[in-house]
Amino acid sequence: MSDKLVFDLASEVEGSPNVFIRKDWINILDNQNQNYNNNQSVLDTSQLSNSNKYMSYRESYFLMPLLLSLGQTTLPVITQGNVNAGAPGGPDYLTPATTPATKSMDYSIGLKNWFGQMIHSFTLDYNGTTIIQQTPFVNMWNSFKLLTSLSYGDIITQGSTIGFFPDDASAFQYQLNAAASLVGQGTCNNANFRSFAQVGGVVSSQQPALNFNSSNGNDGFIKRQYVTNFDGAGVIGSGGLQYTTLLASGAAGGAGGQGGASSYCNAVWKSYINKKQDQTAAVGALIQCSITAIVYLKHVHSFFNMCPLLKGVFMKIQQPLPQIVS
Amino acid sequence: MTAAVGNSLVTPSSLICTGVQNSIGGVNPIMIASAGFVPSTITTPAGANTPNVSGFNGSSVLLPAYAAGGANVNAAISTIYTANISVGAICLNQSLKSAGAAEGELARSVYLYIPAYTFNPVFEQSYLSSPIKQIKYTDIYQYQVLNVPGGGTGQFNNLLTNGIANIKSVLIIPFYSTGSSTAGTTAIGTIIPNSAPVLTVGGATVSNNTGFLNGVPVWQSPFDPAGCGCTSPLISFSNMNVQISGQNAIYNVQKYAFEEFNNQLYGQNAVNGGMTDGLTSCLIDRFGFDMEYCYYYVNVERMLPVEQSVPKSVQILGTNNSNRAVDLYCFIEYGNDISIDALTGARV
Repeated sequence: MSDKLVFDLASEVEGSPNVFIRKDWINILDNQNQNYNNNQSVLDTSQLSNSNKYMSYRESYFLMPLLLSLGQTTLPVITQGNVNAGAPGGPDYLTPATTPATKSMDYSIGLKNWFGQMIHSFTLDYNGTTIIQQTPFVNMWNSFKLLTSLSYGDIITQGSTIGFFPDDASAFQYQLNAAASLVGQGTCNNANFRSFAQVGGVVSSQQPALNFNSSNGNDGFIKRQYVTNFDGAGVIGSGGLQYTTLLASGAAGGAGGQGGASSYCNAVWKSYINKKQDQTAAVGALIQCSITAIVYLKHVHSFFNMCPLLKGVFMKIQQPLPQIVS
Repeated sequence: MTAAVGNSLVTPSSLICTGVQNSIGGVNPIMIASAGFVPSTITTPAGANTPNVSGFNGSSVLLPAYAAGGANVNAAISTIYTANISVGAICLNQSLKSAGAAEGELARSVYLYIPAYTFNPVFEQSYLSSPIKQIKYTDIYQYQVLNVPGGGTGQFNNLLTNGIANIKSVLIIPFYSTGSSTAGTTAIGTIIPNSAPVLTVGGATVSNNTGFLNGVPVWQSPFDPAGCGCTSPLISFSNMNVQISGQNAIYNVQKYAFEEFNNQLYGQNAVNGGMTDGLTSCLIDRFGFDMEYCYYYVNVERMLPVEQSVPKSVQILGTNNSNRAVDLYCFIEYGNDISIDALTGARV
C-alpha cells in the first residue's frame, strides 16, 4: 500500500532553507610536476586548508591520467615466405593505422576491473601525523569492498567513470598444456568475443560442446575496453562514415592519425586511442590509449568515507604508483 | 613481454607471456585479449570463411597470419610485444618509447577534485554546536599463507597475528600457488603438491600448478583477472573456521559452500545487510562465489564494548578442496577512530 507515502508526500512542508549557500569544486595538483619516474604520487592539501571552506573528502576523487601502450618491440624475422606476406602491407605486417578494417588492434588490450587497481598501497598523514599506514595489496581489499557494496545500478551509473565492470565468473579457461595456446597461459578470462551455439549450421562458433560457459566471452572485459578504446576511425554506418565525421576537426592527420577525434577528445579529456602506428621494415606496430581514470577516495580507504565536513585540514597523501610491463 | 607465435600455414598458434615487471610489486592491471577466435573458424551461412572478425576479438590480429596457399612459410616466427601502463602522460618504458610511443594528450598530472561548501550561517552554527567530530573508520592488516597443498588433503591451520584490538572481519582471498622450480611433469587432474613441477610452454617456463610463468603470481598475469576482483577459480574450503583468541568465530565448522555464502558472505557491506528484498546491493552471487569469486569472509566484530580494546589473536583453519595448491592472501579489518575539530581541523 502506498497510501501512507502519498499522504506523507502531500503533507511535506515546502520551501525549507538551503543548508549551503555555495558548493565549489576545487582541483589541486600533486607534487610530482608531471614526473612519475620515481613511481609515486604525493599530494598535500595545503591549498585547501587555507581556503576557509568546508571540504567534503567523502565526495572527492583522484583524476589519474593513464597511458596504456602495446607495441611490437622486436620485429618478426621473416626468412622465407611468399613475397606479399613478407613485404610491408602484406599479411605478416600489422598495419592498424592504415587498414583498421582487417588489422585493428583496438580490442587487443584493456584493463582489469576498476581503475583503483593502480593504488597498491597508501599512506595518509593528518596534520603531520601518519594515521593510515602503508599496507600492500589494498586494491584487493578495496575490490572486495566494491564487489560487496555496489549494486548493478551502480555499475550502470558509475561503471564507466571508475572503470568498474566485473568479470564474468564462468567464462574463464585454464591452460596447462605442453603446447602453447591462443588464449594465454594458466587461468585466462580474457575472451572479449561472445560466441553462440550452433543453430542448424547457420551460425557456428569455436565453442566446443560440454565446456559449460568457459571461453564464451567475458562481458566485463569488453565493457571496460569500450571505456578506454574509443577510436575516431571507428565506422558508424554502412556508408563507411567514421566517428571523426561528427567530431570537431583537428589538424589533418592529428596524433595517431585520429584527426578530429584527437582534437575533440583532448579538449574534453575523453579516454581514447591516441596513437596507432603501422609496422614497417624499421618499426613495429603500436597502439596507445590515453585514459582519464577517476578513483574516488571513499573507495580507496574507509577513512574518507567517514569524514565529516572539515575546515583547515592539512593532509598529505602518498601513493606508490606502478609502471607495469607485460 | 607478450609474444605471439605463428607456426603454421594459416593459423597462428600461441599467445605467450614471457615476463611481467611491476615497479612496486602488486597486481598487473593490464589485460591482453584472447586470440582464441581466429577468422578461419567463423563461417557464414554459405559456409565461406569470413576473415573480418579478428579485429573484434583483439589479439588474434597481433599474430602473424600467413597467406593461405602461399608458397611456404617460416617454420616458426614470433613477434614480441610489450605492454605498459604508466601514470601521467609519458610512457615510462624505454622499449616502447624507442618503438615510437607518443605522449598522452589528456591530463599530465594526478589531480584531487574536491567540493568545498559554504554553509548557510544558521546551519553552520548548528553544525558547530558540537565541533569535535569523532571519525570511526576501519583499516586493514595483510598476511599471506603460502603453498597450501591441494587435492582435498591440504590443510591450513595458521596463526595470522598474536594480537589486534577491535577486529571487525577476516577475509581470505585464495589464488593458485606460484609453485617452485622443480623440473618434471604432472598429469592434469592430479593432486598438486607443495613443490609443483614446471613445464616449458613455447619457450617459457610455467608452473605446473598455475599454468602461468613459474615464480610469477597469478595476479600478475595479463590473461587472468585474479587480484583485481576475481580469485583463482573453483577454490573452496571445507572444515573452515576462524579463531579469535582461540575461540571459534563460526559456531559449527563451515563445511559446505552454501554455508559460507549464505551465513557469512551474503549481505556483508550491502544495503540493509541484504535483508530487504528489492533493495540491496552486492555483485557476488552464489554462482560467482562457486566459480571465480571465492572470497571467504567472516564477520567477527560482535563483542562487548569493553572487549574492543583488548588485542586478540587470529587463527584460520580449513581444508583446501581445490586440486591446485593455493596461496591465501588474508586481510584483517580492525576499527580505529580519531577526533577532529571540524572548525580548525586540529586533531583532538
